[in-house]
Amino acid sequence: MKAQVGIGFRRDFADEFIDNPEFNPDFIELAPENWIGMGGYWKKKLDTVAEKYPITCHGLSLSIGSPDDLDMNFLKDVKDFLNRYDVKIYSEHLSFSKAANAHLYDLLPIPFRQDAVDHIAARISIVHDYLKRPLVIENVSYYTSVEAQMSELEFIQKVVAKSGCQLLLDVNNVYVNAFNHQYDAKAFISQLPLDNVAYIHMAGHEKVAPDLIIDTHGEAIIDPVYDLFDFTVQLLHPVPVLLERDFNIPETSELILEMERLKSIVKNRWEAGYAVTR
Amino acid sequence: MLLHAETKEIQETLASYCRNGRVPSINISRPDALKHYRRLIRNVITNTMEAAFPITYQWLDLNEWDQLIDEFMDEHDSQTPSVWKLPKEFAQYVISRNYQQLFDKPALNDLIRFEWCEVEIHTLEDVAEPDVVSLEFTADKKLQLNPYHQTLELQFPIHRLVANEAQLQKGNYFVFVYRELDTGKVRFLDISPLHVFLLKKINQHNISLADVLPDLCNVFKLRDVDVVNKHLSVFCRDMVDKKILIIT
Ligand SMILES: [Fe+2]
Repeated sequence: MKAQVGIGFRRDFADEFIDNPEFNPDFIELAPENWIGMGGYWKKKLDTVAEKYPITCHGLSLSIGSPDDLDMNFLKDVKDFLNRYDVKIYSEHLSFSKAANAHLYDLLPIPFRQDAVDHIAARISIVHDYLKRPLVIENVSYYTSVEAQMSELEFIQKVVAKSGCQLLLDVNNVYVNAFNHQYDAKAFISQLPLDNVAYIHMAGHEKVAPDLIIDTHGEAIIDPVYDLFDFTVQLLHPVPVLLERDFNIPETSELILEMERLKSIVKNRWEAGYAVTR
Repeated sequence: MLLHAETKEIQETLASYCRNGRVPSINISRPDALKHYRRLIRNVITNTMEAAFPITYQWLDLNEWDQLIDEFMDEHDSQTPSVWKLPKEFAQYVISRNYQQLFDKPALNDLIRFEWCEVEIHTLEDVAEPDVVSLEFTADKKLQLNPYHQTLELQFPIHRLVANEAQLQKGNYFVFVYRELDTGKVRFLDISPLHVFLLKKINQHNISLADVLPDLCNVFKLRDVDVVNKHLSVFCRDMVDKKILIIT
């Protein structure tokens, strides 16, 4: 399989996707919430890029770990959107962003507990059945655990085992969590259910204190995260790789270089006849 | 429900802290990091509102703005999954809680409605647009209104003047806000009650100027139909040129 490297589509540099001949991601990723119900100028832009690139979707507000009920009206809108743009991969975060009937628009850490695992696994299967496509679940960055009764690793393992879901492995998030919570990133990745990995995220982050990193998607990817990525892809069969860049958008040439670097790593590992070494 | 009541409560406690900043008594591994959740959420909310209401943001004192954001986060249960639609809820919140009185800024509601209207019309979902079959206006031709529009009735001319000056000119102002069919850009027009009546009738019934005239003259007690016809023909011709009125 040819290595696919994509990038998040954002309004901030939408025209680059349309007009810049140097800029050729293999696919683009977008949050359906940012586009559902949108008409006019931006809808035209979206339709233009949708003509040019395959689209994957990475949701923000499904809130799979929420104590609130799933919002089936919202899911219907998502389904219509995924169908309209022929989206094969729809992913969401292993977190919650809604509680007590209010959206929070950020990814809050779910208590690592067995009842949360059961709750989430049941909801993943509802979403899966309703959308008639897999719901790919991403490991998120978290800055503190909350009333945890198991480790993050156990929590992810159990959610995947119980639901059978596919995993979006965000390598930067593992790096951020390993740094913030002082564990070994490589050992963590090695113990994930790697057969279920369907997609990879790579991103930059920001160190806000000597012992705390925040996952901002606002900086370039740093070398140690590239190293962790190189380690990771050796354990995986080829899957699409996405560069996330949401803020502090640099010159497109810099994004192109980052995508090229990602591509050269996966080409080296996945297209040069290397066997999976696991 | 598979989720235990205790876990649910822990989650709600964390969410509640993010909204009101009152530090929760839950067991967390990194108390020093907790504040970043509230900070990040507050950033999302304030950045979204600054982008949607740039004039309001400039006009209010910073502490007034911060008060709005803090109280909105604390008191309002945000309903939309799409954060770009949240300014609508924010506008409703600011108006319903009567902050214009609290801040002694009587034009606040007008300004916030006006700014939201611009975003709303700009992003209004696409519908089947009428085909422009002719640009030659005559009073007997059936007309249809550009589907992307709203008429705002304001107390203060905040669309023409900076808010502090607009506040000195209380009155009745009608602003027609619409999206250009060709470019998707949002434009504003000052219109009179006569125009409001005309556009409303056309929008309801897709009729011609001639069809509306008798009713209009009756309602506004205008006797010289010819003069009104002339005046409104000039208006309609301009609206046809701008593709606000579409000859069908
Ligand atoms: Fe990610």
